[in-house]
Amino acid sequence: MSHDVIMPALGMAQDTGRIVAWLKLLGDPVADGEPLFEVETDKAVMEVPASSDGFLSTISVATNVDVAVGTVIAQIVNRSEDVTSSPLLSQNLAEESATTVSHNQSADLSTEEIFPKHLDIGEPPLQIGPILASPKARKLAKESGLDLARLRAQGIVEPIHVGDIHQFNEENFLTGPKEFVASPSVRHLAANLGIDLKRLALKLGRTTLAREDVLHETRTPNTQNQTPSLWDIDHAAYGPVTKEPMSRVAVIAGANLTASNSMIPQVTNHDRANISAIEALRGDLKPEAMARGIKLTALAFQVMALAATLREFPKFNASLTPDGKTLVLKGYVHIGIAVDTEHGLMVPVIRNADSKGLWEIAVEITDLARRARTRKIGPDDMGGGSMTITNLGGIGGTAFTPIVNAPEVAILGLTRTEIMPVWDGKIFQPVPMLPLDLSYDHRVINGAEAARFLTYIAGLIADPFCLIS
Amino acid sequence: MTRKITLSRAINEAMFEEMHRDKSVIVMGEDVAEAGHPFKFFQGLVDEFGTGRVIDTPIAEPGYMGIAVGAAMTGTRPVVDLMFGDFLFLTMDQLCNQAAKAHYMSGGKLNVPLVVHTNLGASRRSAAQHSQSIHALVAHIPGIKVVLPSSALEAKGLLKTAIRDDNPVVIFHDKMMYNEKVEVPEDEFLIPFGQANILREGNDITLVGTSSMVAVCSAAAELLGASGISAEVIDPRTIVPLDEATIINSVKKTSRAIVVDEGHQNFGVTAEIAARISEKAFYFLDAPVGRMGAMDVPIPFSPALEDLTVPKAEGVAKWAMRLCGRDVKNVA
Repeated sequence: MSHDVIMPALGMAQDTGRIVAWLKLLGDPVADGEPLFEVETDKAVMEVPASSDGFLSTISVATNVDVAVGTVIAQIVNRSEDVTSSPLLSQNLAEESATTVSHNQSADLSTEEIFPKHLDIGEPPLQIGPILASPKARKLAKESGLDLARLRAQGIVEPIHVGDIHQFNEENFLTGPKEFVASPSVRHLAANLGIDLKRLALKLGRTTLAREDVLHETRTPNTQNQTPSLWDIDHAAYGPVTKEPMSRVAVIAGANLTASNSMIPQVTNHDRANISAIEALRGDLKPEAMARGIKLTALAFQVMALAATLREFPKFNASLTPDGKTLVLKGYVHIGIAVDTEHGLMVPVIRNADSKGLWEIAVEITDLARRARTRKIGPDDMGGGSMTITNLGGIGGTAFTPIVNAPEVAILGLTRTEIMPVWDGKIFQPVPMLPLDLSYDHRVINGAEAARFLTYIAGLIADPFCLIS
Repeated sequence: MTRKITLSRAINEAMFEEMHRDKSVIVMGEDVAEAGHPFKFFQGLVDEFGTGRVIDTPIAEPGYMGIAVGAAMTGTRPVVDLMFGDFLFLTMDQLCNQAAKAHYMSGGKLNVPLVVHTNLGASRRSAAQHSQSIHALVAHIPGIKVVLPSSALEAKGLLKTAIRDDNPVVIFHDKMMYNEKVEVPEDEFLIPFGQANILREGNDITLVGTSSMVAVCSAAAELLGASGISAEVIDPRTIVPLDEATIINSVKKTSRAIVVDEGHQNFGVTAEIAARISEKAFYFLDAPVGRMGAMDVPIPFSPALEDLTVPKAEGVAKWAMRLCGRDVKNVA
């Protein structure tokens, strides 16, 4: 008996996932519910538990390759002697041993049985580890810009041969006319925009390219295609360089930021909030915080203040529909916290922050930040936010212009608190002031609303007792 | 005009033509004169040219090979017959230490226009000491040319070129081919060294065969053709010098290759040619280069076992199908 291990759907809109690491080795005993492997989706890395007892067998999918949800990626077998390294390998071994048996038993020896090594044409196909491909297949893939990992992800038996690539390209419409027709003006335009017309023709599957095709290509939200000439520089010509790949999280975040920044007319308003009361309160609550074992940061107060403010300003707790004609007002208040991790920016979300208490929020901030940094965040911990807070206060800065975390309509940035002279009517008092930076989608929110929003939240921060009472 | 003649007859014609053409050409060996050689290569030569140019020797290969090397250095063009290729082991110093190096060590003052005329190949039930294919041994030594004719036609043209070459040449005939008849031109012709023969053009796999294995490769190509695989068959004719360009260009076209040679597979001709393909056509290869030689065992006397030691057309075809990604079971 064996149970299939499948690539799970960990988020609603998830089509593929990639295995970052197996937490068990081939042949290891596994128990139902025990963490089996780590999956990375567009949003997070999380552990997936085993769904039955047994031994891990037949790992058939490579790590760090996109795999469709529902794909069988391994098996759990009941007995350790049933463990096999891959379905393909096990088949081959079965065939080999069958040949050996007939070789020994049969008096009628044929040439190929006497020459077993002639038929041994290399390693059996293993779908883990480095991708096996013939030199010619590798060369072809490189020349056509095809990642062989895509073929492996489709379960093509390795070693990959040229025929496999041709078939893959045909099935994925990557082949097409090699020649194309384009007027001189279109060629000129393409050259100026740095667009490879040959590749565009292949992509569109057409032989005739018009001005619209080239312009449409520039609008495709793909940073590489937009203005490749800006980045198509041999930096090594100016001095030594090294290269490192962008992490997957950073690439995804980058694409989202590019879309947000290019599609949303954004404005940033700046203000300051007096946080002397919060600082005093934190001082008073310090013994209790220590007793509870909770790290009480100013951010917890600010999240509470933002949650309360969003209840007062429903337009800030909203998203536009894709056509931009309808505003979806949210009946909940979920606050996103931007977390700087070594693998990129992540935004876990505190759900229903408006109905949670100070201690609860403080605990949740600490927990989410820790899990984000260790890549243990699940899709349910992210997305669906009302607004996002991005806090640089611990590092520095006097002001910045955060980019709205689409589809949200506003984001609140915080930088380092400064002691500023504040006129109390008689003299200047030294007051700790927290800089607030509110970026917003100007299609939804206008400057006056933003100013009112900032004034309101600054008032709450200055008087936190009304938040926690 | 052509007519069908045996390989023995083709060699005999070549000897008559060359000995008439050049008085310095002589023949030495066991039973080459009155007997005309056990395989009839030299029949009638002694009547035509006399015992001065067609010299019977004792059964003493090291001795008469030494005499021939000296004779070659001093103005004759000896064709030395070794009845079996296996006897080359007896003559290694004369051939590899003396003949192969004299031109180099004398600063070009000495030439050794020597032809060693011998054979290779199993399947004659001659047992382990008379069935070997040891051409790789001499091919390893710089200064010796190695010729592997694959038919009577090839044998005649290549032997005449060998006799006219100013360097030591060892020519290996396949014993099983002596009585095979093929079309050979009546007019005089020569086949140059270092020019491979493309016997059959194809697009899916290159089969490089030498000597006896050329026919095996051609038969394998027929089998493959029936299964829809188009194989190109190449006979290098001479392995030293080797027509590398023809082989490499073919593999660049087909992306796959099997090299078949009757010598033992370990450290043999197949290894050398396969290595050159891997080096020079690496990025054109879509499958590992295959090689098939004789099994790495002494050639058995038992007919049933002897037949198994040498590559067969079916085995070459099956392996070719695997390299082409086809199910082996479908082979005709």
